[in-house]
Amino acid sequence: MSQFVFATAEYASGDWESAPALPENVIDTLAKYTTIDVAPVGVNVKLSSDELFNYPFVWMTGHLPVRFTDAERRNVKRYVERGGFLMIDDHNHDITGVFHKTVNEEIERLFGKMTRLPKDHELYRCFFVFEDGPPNTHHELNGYGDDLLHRYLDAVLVNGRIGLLYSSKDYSSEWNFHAETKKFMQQDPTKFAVNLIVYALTR
Amino acid sequence: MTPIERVRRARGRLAGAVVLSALFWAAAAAMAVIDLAALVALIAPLPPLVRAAIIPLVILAALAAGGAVLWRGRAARSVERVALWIEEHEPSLQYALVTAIDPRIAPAERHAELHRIAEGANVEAFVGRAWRRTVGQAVLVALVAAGVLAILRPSDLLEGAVRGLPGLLPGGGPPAPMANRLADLTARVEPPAYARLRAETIDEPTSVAALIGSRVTFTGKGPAEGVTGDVGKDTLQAAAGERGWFLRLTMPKEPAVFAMHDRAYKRLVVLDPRTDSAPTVRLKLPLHDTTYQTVPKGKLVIEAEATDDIGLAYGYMEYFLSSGSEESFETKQMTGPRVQLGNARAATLRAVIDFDTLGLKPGSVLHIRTVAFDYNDVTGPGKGVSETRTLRVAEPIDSTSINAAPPLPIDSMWISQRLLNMKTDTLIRTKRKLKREDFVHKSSGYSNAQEDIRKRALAVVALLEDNGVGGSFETETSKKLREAADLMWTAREHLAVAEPDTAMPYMIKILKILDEIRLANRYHMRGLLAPVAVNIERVRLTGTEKASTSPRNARDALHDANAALAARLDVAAALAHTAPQAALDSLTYIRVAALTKAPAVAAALGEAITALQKGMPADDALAQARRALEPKPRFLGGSADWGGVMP
Repeated sequence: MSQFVFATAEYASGDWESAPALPENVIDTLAKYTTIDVAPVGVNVKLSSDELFNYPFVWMTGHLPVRFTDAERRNVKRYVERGGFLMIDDHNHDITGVFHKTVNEEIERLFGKMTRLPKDHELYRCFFVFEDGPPNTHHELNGYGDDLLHRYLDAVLVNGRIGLLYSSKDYSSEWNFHAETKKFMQQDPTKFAVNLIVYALTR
Repeated sequence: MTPIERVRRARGRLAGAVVLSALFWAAAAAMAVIDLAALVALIAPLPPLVRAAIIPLVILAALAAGGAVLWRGRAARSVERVALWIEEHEPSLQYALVTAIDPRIAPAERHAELHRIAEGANVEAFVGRAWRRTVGQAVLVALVAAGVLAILRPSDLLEGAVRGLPGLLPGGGPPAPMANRLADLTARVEPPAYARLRAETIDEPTSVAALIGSRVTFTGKGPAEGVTGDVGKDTLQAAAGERGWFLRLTMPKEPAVFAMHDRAYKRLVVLDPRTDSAPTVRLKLPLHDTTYQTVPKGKLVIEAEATDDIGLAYGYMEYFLSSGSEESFETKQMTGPRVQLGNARAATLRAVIDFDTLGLKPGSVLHIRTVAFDYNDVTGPGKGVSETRTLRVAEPIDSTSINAAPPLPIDSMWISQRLLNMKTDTLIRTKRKLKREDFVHKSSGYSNAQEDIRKRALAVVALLEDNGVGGSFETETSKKLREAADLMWTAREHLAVAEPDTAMPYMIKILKILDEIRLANRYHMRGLLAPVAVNIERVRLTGTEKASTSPRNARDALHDANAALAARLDVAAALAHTAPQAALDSLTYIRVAALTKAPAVAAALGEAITALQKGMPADDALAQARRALEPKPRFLGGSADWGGVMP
């Protein structure tokens, strides 16, 4: 079995690199709780490149407007339809923000309207159990961005499986810190990342 | 000639006139009915029942007209009535003729005078006039009706009327011997109005390819009753048209089979919808994403090419201007003026924006793209967008908190070179005042400084030319910088041997090149920093929070569309020789299923269907379709004595 490599999506428009510490943190969490053979270093992968298809799980984030190029659009569609898992997180945590608007426009153009994931979805139970659906972030609780607690995540389902997951919760801010900091925290806020990756690899 | 003989002769001529005029009036009435029906049909199509009733109405009208004339002229049968009619027209006879024709009342031998008067009457003249008037009127009316008929030429109407006639008979329904009304089929395709394409007619269609939303009218001969068409879950009833029946539908969005039925007869036609593609837009200028090291001034030319398969309606430029950093951003969306593209298939959109009016500042990001629309008012409008160009204005924070690569050290290199040039210039000017060893020492030191700058330049060249995967490529900037580095080597050599005045021209050139690079726009070099590595072994399974297991739902096997089509094709192909009609129907449905997912298979099946319809062997086309459904051979690599290719 090949090693799992955490991949960050690199796209032509916007600030794809806005959460530089997140990959390290998620890799650390994955190693802490699972025996998944995870690569110690993440990679940046261009959405327009065929290398995208080497990674079963890809993280995408940003604050700025997202306009896919034709090659990016073509690859994202193929990637999702062929069994990949693309996680898109709004770093603005703002449903009136430009990232949310433009990404949703792109997703709808490629796949149609997304499906709202129920709180008892397998995603919230496949490793850690999140009874109340997607865990809240400090940014939501502190009223930043759109000052909303987003209770659900939206998804593009392919044959019943999540192929693309969209979050307005801003996990990119929540998990964008040095992994060592976790030892000073009562609760590990990055646990949900394990569920995301376990789901992507096993479902 | 005796009076009785003369009256009998007149009776014969009058009876003949009555019969002749009855015939002409009957013909005129029959033609008048047809004329009337044809005139009404010109205004609106006649209902099938009315069409079928035309022939009976014609007969009725003819019988009525003829009968009426005969009834009116029934007096011509009686000799007495004819004699009285003559008396009526010749009052001078004083009933001599009526009396003379009855030998019992007035025998000639006893009433010679009476008979003489009767014989002197000019009967033939007014009988002849009456004959000409009666027959002439009827002929005239019949000629008028025939003239109208000749102008209207209602042959289709009469054909339809004759075909529909059996339907009126007791027991109703189409008669058994009626031919297959689907046998002689025509399809007329009228593309949607926005496409401005001409309508076309296809005879004996097996497949109709047309733009989505096109109006497709299938026409056949015979009455419309009982002819139906099924497309998806909808059933259409045929309507009567000028040439028989017709079925009209709109080209659906997905391929479908249109199944037409006439009693036990069936005919399938593939509806092959053609999508009106959205416009394709390509941004030609600016060519690349760019990061400006300072806030740009002046104007920026934007140029895009738009193309469409049918015709372009309009287009415009769209801008997103974001300013701010980290968590605080402001974004403005702007659109340029709408440019009408006049249904052209290709057009160029051009705009010029003034940087000074945008309020750019360090950290600003400008996204530019071009949008074009077509005229599609059926499934559209089709919207095409170009890829987005991103123009950034760099800010100091780029190099520390976000940007993986440090900004190019051209600025510091330029400053170093400028200082070195100034020092060298001073050295040259003070050469005479310095001792030889001091002069050589200083020049040697400048040589080292020049070498230091050269190494920095080469390091930047390497960074610029690194493609991230172990290879390299030359860029405009790296090319210039490499040229500067070569000049630095020469200058360094001259400085090392205490020839600063020889080195100076090279150093001036170096400074000029660095200045050009410094002021030029540079490529944004994001994502080149190596990500941080995690010590996996140290942290492995050190987490304290507990997970819980849950049953895992296995992923459904992917549906193999080609395998399903292949299985259906095998069954249909097996029927090709034993039951060609059944094979034809099956292949038509398989072709529809293949149209979107396997166009090559659909094309081969189209050939097979045509061959089967013509009664020709379809084996080759079927084999071609079957091959197209098989996976492509896969190269396995490595040592393979037999070639390494597996099916």
